[in-house]
Amino acid sequence: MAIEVTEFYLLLSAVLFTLGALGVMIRSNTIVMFMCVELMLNAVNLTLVTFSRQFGEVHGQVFVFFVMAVAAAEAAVGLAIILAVFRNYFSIQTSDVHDLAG
Amino acid sequence: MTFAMMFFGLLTVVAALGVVFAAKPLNSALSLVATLFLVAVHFAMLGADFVAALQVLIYAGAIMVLVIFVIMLLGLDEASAVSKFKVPRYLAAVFCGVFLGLLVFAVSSEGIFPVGIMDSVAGGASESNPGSPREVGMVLLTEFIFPFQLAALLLLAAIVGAVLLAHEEKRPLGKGRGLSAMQQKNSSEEELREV
Amino acid sequence: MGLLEQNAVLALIPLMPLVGACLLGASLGGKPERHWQSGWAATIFSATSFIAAISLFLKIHGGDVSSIQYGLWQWFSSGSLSVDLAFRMDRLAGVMTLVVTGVGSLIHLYAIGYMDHDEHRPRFFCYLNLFLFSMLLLVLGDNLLVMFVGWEGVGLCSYLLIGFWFKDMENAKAGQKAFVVNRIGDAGFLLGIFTIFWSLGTFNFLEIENQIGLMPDYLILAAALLMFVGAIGKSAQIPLYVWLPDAMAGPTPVSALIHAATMVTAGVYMITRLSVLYLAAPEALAVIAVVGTATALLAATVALAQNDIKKVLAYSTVSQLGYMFMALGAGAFSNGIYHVVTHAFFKACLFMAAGSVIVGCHHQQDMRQFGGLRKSMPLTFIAYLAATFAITGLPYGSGFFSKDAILWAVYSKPIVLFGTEIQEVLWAIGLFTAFLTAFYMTRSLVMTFFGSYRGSEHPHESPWTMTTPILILAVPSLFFGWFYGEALLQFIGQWGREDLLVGHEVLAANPTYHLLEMISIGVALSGVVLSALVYGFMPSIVGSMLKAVALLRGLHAALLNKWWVDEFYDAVIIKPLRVFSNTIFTVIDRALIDGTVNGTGMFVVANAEVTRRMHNGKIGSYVMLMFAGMLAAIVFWIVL
Repeated sequence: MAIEVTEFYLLLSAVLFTLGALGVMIRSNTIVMFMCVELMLNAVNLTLVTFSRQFGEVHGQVFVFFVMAVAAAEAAVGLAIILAVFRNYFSIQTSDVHDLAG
Repeated sequence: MTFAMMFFGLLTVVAALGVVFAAKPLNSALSLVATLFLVAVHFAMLGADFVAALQVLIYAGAIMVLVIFVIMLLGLDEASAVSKFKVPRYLAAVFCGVFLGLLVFAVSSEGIFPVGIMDSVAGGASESNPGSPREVGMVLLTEFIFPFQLAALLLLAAIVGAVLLAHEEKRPLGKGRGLSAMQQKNSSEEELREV
Repeated sequence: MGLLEQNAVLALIPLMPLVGACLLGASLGGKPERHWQSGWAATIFSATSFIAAISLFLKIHGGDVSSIQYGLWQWFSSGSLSVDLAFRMDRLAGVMTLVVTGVGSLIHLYAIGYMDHDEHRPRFFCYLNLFLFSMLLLVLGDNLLVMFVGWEGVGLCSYLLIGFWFKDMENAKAGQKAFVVNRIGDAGFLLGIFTIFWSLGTFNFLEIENQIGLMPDYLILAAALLMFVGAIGKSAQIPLYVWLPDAMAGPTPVSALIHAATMVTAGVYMITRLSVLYLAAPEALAVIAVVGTATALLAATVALAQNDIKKVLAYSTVSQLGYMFMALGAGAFSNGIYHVVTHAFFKACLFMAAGSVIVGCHHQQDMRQFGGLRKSMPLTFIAYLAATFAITGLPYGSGFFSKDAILWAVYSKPIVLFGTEIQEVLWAIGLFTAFLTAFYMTRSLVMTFFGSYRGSEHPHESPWTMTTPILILAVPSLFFGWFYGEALLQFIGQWGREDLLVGHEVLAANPTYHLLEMISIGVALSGVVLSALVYGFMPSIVGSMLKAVALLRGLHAALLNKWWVDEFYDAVIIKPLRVFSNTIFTVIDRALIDGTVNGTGMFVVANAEVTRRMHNGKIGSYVMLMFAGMLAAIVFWIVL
């Protein structure tokens, strides 16, 4: 039973992670892309917690804590960047921000 | 695996699909809030009480408020096509399918993980409760005290960075000091020539 | 070896001109009103060198020592090989050093007057001193490598000085021609050096002399011929003589110093220095004799028809060099050097007198514009007369002795080529050349100094700095053979190993010798008289004869155009080379190398044109590529 729970959550987090990655790839709205990244992070967190439970270790959850801290920092900086981009281009669509296109 | 897990798991996937495929960013954001809450439920079901609380507080509370705030602030809630490039979109789907297949294969097969790890520790899961705030706090503030402080530093830096980036400059872009100074010089030279 | 040691004076001989050259080179940016100092400085350095040379020569002459050596430092060493920057003066080198520094100093003095008013005087004297340094290195070096450095150095200075007035394209081209033609010879010389080193493992002259027996015959022959190729280039023999007449584009002191008295005799000196090698290769000696004789004859014929006084003297130089090689070919090395010395006197004198005439007639070189100059330029006339007397071989001028010695050597020494003895043929040609020499030299003398003046500018005598050296050189031109000829032959003869020592005392009893001497005198006299008659009293006869006889006309045209040798080289060597180079240039350089280089660039550009489309500025596609890469890595890892 325990193994089944673990496997279920691993599969769930795999699905979430893949969905997040797909979102990053196919969406052109930077805020949505950003949210998809958050989704991926959550998938990883889920994996960490699952393994933490599996191995009876608390370290996995400590790592989740750090991931959240980093995610918070990322959110602050990322959203600020989105703001700055919007201020310069009046858009946050990646299709409008392509100054470095070759 | 209980029914609740199955149920909430399905809900989570549906919410995540909403994040990815919702046409409007705000709908996406709200779906994400739902997803985060559902993940918090999963954390709780896995016995990670502390992390579940954090998930609600930080993600669903703080970060998502920030995101929605930005969406509302910039008035960006317009529907947008998923992507203008058709081929990459399908290509991305193919890649993701392959990736998911690989992950499923990894989880379900015996060969990927070292033999015996799963079995050896299987059972010891639910006896104590390692996910309580007390347990996590003990480890976090003893063994991981240095990374903990580092995280604080990181957050500080992030705040400063965010302020710097979001801070609106008085001068519009493209008229930096150097450029305008150069223009001034040119104009004065032209004046001299005219004289 | 301390500097205080007396032998250190030896190092001073080449060093003084080098110091002079450096100082003059450093003063190149100096004020024009101080330029007059440069000539005097150069002359003083050169004269110091001469005095040092005398002091050492007297030691050798006195018989105290047979040679003086002085090593400055080890130049380089590699494995068992060690080459020293060392000098050695023996009898041969001593004589050459005296000639080089002595005549050189006089020519420096002369150049002060000749180059007066030239705005580039410091550069000129810098080159001149540098030349003297190189020449002394060549003469005094105790191994082949030091000699080679000097050898190349004189070539360089020759190039620089021929093209001294480089603003005129013709001069620059003449300099280039001299340099390129010399390079051909130098390649042979280098190969010769390599051959000797490959076989004996040494560059040192003494060691080569001692170990020559160890060299296999075919290598000796190869080395001798290769070195002779070098001598052909430097000493203007057939087929590489073409640069020397063109070298007359340089200032006249240069013609006198480099292209008459010293540098062009470097080939003669080098072969004499390696006489041991050549004595072991009689076939090479025969080749030298034939080449020398042919050159003497050819150049003498061309000199007959030239109207430019310097061209006449240039071809005369080539012809006289041919004589020297005849002597070498006969194995009479000291006779060759004897002629080098006397030739240095009279030819330098002739050239400087010609230069004086040229300056006096306001830079006119065409002899048809001269005439009757003996009245307006008496000192120059006296010197030119004396030197002409010497070169024509009239008895008891210095040329008479040295040329006779050569002819006698050629006649009396069996020269075998392809199994036939040819010495008598060579002798006859040499004799005929002597007649031609007498003829054309008298022609130049008569056309320049007798008759009535045909030019437009008023001629004037040159300043004392010019006339003094000419007159000084006229003295040995006349009397050197009479007083010192025997002594010199004996003196050098004791250095050499040739068994032939031609001296008048020894031969006085030989009736054949007297007969040949009489013939020689008769030939020279007839040449002089005939020429004087034709050009002095019946100048019109030449023209009318040319009109009358078609054969003579053709001959005259051939001589005037120098037998079309330049044109022949142009058609046979230069044009094909140019075509070849052009082909190489277009096919290999343009198409292959440039094509490869440009192709690489174009490939990169084309490649970038394709791959840059991946940078579409869409973050999603970047992420997708990254994702694809990650997937590939995972698959790779699983598969492995």
